[in-house]
Amino acid sequence: MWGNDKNEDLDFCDNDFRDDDLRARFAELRREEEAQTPEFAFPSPSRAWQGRRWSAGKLIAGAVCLAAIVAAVFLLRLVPTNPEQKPGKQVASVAEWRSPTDFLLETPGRELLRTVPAIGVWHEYPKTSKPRQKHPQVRKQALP
Amino acid sequence: MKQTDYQGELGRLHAASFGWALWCCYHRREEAEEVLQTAYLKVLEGAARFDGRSSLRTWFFGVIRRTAGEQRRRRWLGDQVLRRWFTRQPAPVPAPDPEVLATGSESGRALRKALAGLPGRQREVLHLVFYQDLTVEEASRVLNVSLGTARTHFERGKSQLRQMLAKEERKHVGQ
Repeated sequence: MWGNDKNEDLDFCDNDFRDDDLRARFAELRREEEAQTPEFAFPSPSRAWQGRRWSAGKLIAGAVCLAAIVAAVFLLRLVPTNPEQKPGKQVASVAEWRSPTDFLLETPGRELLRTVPAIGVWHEYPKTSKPRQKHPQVRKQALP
Repeated sequence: MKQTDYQGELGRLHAASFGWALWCCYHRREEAEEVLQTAYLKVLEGAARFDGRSSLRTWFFGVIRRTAGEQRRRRWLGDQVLRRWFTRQPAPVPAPDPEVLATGSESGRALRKALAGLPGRQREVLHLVFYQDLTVEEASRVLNVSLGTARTHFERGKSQLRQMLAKEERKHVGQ
């Protein structure tokens, strides 16, 4: 125990000595650098005012940029996103819209599933209705 | 504290402040002068206010360090981003001014060179303690780190610095 304490003390002394060496080196460096120090010149209030004017200028520039961004967003919202949607054109209501392939669901004999059959009564069920509109078939054309 | 009081106190601290600014700016003299003037301007404008929680010296050193950091970031943005975009060349890594490193006595040059090889925090703590004669606690306040962290940086920095100086001396003896 005693030996360890003694060693620690010696280490501490050695450390202190080495710190003194570092301190001396730094002190020398400080002397060298202090000789090159420029004269003390506290900025004048006019320079502070210039600084403030500069920061006011930055504030104005920032406000202008912000206003430009807001205006751009507003204009973008006014312009319709769908090019087919022009101001004068009527848009079909969703309730009126019908799929062009609706006729495919009109299968023959579908009335049998919806009505209750009566004995002795003959129903002339209509044939499958034809598609209201014939869709033009697009064929590939050979290049000349 | 009045403006005139600030002026007198900061005038007394000027040499030490310049030394600290020089270290915060990797020994680039012009940059250090600019940083110091900007720090004075912050005090004059009231952007940096002394609240009396530490000594004026500790507080003002903190202001200088922050100002140097801001300036470095601004330069980095200019160098790294704009230069990279326009010239397609990587920006140079900030290094100490070789002219400044070459001036002064032999031991001063060796010390500067060794310190330049240390990590930033270790270098800063060593400078504040040995060069500016602050305590480790005051240095921790300037660097805005805990006392334990400052002590760790201080001890590691000292041992690394000694190794580097010893290596440098051996090199000189060998020549």
